[in-house]
Amino acid sequence: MSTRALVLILLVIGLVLGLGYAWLIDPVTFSESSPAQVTKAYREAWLLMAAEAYAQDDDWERTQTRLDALRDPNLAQTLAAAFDQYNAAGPNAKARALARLADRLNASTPGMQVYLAAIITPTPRPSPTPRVSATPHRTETPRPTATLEQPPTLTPTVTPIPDYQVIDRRAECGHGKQPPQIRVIVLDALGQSVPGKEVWITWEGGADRFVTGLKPEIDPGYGDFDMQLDQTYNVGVDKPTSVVVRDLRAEPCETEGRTSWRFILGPRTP
Amino acid sequence: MRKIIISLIALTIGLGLGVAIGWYVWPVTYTEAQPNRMGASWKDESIWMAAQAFAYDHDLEAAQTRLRPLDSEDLGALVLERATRAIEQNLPAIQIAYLARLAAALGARSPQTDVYLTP
Repeated sequence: MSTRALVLILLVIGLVLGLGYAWLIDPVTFSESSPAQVTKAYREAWLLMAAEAYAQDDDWERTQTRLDALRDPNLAQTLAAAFDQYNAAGPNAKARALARLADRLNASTPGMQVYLAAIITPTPRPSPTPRVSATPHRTETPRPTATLEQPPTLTPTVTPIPDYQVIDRRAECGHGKQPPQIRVIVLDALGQSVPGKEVWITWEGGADRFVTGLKPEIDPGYGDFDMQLDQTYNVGVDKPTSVVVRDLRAEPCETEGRTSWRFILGPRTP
Repeated sequence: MRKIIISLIALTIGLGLGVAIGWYVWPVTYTEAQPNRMGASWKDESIWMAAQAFAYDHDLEAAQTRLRPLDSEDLGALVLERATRAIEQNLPAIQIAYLARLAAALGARSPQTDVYLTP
């Protein structure tokens, strides 16, 4: 055997032995792991905490750092899976936070829309003319003598005419510990109850929805919503902007309890 | 004799290269580590996130579940220590408040952090 071949063989043997030692016998041990290296359960917990923290403080820069620490190449899928897991238990704050984070990452799924639609910012009311103040305010920093405060740029909108109208409206006084409710039965043009219809309940700063037909023992087109005592609600069908009933409150009854509202809604007749 | 010396040198170089590659170029990477093996800065971040999340969902049980893997026997003391350190580091008041509130919910309070309990 030539010397060159022997050197090569021994070099390879040495390399293999060295790798075996470095990987198997005495591997490098890092005393500090990163969030990307911890157990799957804790990585999921980390993701949820990051989502909730973002929902709490709206600090996107910090949230990005936290998400980057996971080094997850399929973050959108991981988020969607976590959302499905939490949302399976019904609407809740954790699922809402995950939906919001997914939306920020442009990775929202259809199932998240109900949470995202609920984030409604009150529409600013346009002031008819720009406000002009002729005299400066007394402030520490001098201001120009005339300031023109431009109103926010608003696209003129026409209040949409809802496709539904109220056929019957009743106030019902509740008994016992049952919370006041908005109770809706949706009918079709033939007066038949319609299951599976989306009814939106909106209020200042929020929205929720239910689908008719989940309580067929009451009516196939029936659905209800528990009211908070200090809130004023609107009711729409199909979409939150299609408001059919406005300004509902759980007013105190004359005897006891609070007012629930029962509506029968049907398609608007021309 | 010369051949043996060259062979030994080749073997030594191979060994050295192998160890260097195994330690520095492609070291063993660990996954599924326990959260208590995270670096101190990540642990701090984790406690801070748990406090923020608690401010959002008010779910003390969830907060405990999130803190327990950090391997502290006294979760309240863990968060209180972080809150105290946050005060010393002059971190934003809201950050200290979140930590102080979670610590208090876990039964750990101090005069230093109590001032942050009320909004």
